[in-house]
Amino acid sequence: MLKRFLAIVLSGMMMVSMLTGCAGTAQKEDTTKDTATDAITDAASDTTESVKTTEVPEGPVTVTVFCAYASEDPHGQYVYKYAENYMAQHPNVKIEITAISSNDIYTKLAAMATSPDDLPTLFFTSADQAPTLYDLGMTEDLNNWLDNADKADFANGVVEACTLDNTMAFYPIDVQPSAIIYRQDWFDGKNLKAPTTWEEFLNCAKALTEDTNKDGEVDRWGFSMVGSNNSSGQSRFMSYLWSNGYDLISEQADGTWKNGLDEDGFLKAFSFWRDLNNVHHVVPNGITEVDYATAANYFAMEYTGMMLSGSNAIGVAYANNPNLKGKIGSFRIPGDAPGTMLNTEGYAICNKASDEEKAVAIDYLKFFISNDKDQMFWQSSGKIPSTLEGQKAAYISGPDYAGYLDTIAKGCRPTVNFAGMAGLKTILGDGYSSVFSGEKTNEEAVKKMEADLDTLLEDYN
Amino acid sequence: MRTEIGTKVSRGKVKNKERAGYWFIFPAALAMFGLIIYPMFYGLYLSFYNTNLVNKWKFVGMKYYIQAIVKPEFYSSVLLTFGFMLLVVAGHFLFGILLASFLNKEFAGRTVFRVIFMLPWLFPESVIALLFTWIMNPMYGVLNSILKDIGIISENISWLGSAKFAFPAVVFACIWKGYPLVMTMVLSGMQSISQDHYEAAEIDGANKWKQFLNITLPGLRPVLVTTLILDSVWWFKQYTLVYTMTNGGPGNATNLISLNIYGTAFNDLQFGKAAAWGIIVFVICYVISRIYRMVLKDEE
Repeated sequence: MLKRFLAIVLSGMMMVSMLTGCAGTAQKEDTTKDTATDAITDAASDTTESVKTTEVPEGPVTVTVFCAYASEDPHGQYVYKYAENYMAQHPNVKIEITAISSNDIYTKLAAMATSPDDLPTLFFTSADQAPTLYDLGMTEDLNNWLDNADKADFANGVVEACTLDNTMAFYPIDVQPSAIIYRQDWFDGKNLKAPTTWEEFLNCAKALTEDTNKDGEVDRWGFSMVGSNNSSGQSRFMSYLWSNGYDLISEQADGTWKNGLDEDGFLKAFSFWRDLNNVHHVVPNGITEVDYATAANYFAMEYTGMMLSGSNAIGVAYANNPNLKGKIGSFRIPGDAPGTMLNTEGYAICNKASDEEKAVAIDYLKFFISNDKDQMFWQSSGKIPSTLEGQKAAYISGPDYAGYLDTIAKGCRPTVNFAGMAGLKTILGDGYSSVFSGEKTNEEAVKKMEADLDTLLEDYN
Repeated sequence: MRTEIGTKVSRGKVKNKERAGYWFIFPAALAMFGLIIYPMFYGLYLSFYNTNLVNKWKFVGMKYYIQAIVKPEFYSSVLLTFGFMLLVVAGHFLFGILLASFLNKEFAGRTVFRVIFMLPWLFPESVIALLFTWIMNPMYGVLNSILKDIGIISENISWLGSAKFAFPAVVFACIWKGYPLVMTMVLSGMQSISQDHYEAAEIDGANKWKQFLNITLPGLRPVLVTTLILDSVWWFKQYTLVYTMTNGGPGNATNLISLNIYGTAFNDLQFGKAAAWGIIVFVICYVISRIYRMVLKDEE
């Protein structure tokens, strides 16, 4: 009897949840469409109407910030310092910073979306996360708040890198295109020139890999590869593939995404990356265990001679080994195609915030990028400022940053507006991880990656 | 008439008592509904959607369930998890019973050994995972150093970065972490077996092995079955240790179902797919528990 009763109740609950689910879907999809339409209308009207005022109101205003910078050393301290400076100038404003890992921001926001009052006013985002956050429908279109004069403060390509579907999705604080940092003194010692192709890169890496203390074991490697299967490793592998001319996915005219892993020559490019470890041994042992922090430390501790990274690795190197100053150079990622996006980072404003909060948030962000003449936030982290004025700073004028500025000058890839970027990166990570470890052959791994990407794209097409 | 009234009054009292009983269990029932029943049904609801939990709710029906059956990604992970669970639990029982037999004997310093052998259980899983990660580090790990010194290997091995070694390495760490539970349970079970049985067996001429097979094991059976259930369920849903040591890699070498579901939900942001997999794993766990309960029923 009890079993029958339970069966009836559970069946009823399932039917109700399915029905409400369907109804909810229609309603929610309509709402999404409305929001999207509104956003496009707003963006379109922006060209004719003036932007909203960003004057700081007189009453008390609290701006809450989910900040990924704040937990990082050594630059996290400046986030708090700039907030304190701003609050000193605006006693009615309270800025509350919550340090949070960038990987956790999406899930936190998704969990908080059901109670909009609790959402932060500002949240950190980077170029590869922005499409996912934008897909959540939480980002304010900053075209509503920034006029052309404001946008003109930013360096070339920065505003475009923050723009998705004509919506300026976040406010740029810094740019971090990828390039290769290298030991200039070691290159000079071996008469090596900065490589422009991956074959030349391999030759340089081979030349730098050696047994320096002659004990019969290699103790210095040419390339500080990040081989761990996480976002850092996956992004670098993606850069390598981009630089070889593989887009991985491409948006079709009808808005659907196409799998690009089956293009000619992809297997060869994939195999080359694997061979750096498994055949040529120009990367440190146990490559699947080498994450970004380990790879950056290997470079700082002079175990490795080159590293594919954003300019923040320079900051790590100098912080851990000040003797490296004057010994580091950088060059563009080898290959014919741009191997990196501009990788702009910054803060998105939550569209659920009040207009007062948004106005203060915009004013605070303008203050953030302009209040420190010494640019200590950017200088200590090794990040490159997003503004024209900032990019004139003395600390980025040396050979260590030359490759990054060259990359910016020659043009980066546009921001890929694909909400399933995290899934794509996981597929790439599983691919290289399985061949590094000997679990799969190159052919098996590429075949699986193609199949997995097809499955992923089903959910986004 | 009096009897009818008396009956009505007593029925009323019973009903009042019943009502009071319902009120007593209400807070616990509410908490269970909020923390177990509702999330379970919400998970079931999610599993029929391709969703980002905020503004995208595309109904996909049974798609993710069918994918789980058709594509090897899910079931290969479940099989790997079963293999992992069997090896780890077997290791726990082997070392747990051996050490419990050792600690059940009278010798000087027995208490000290009991404390030492309990230590792995007292450390947090993340600490043990980091400890083994450092021991097995391919660049500066002490394991490679020792093996090279005694001439077993000639060059460093990436224990956690090789498809061949990662799974055994993780299983070893998990056995090391978990054997004290079995050891403690078995030891307490052994101490509850009367010495009279052993004395009688000795008089009958039974050797130590026969005593173990015919007295110790049957005496321990209830304890062993309970421990088997607890240990199996605990290690089937293991997450922390494996995540910290290998994050499921390299490739899929240690990609247990718990890591796979977490990664699908919180790395790839495919909440519907992860929910569907969670539901299937729930069903699998339910079937396992039914089988165990059937075994227990036979015992009774």
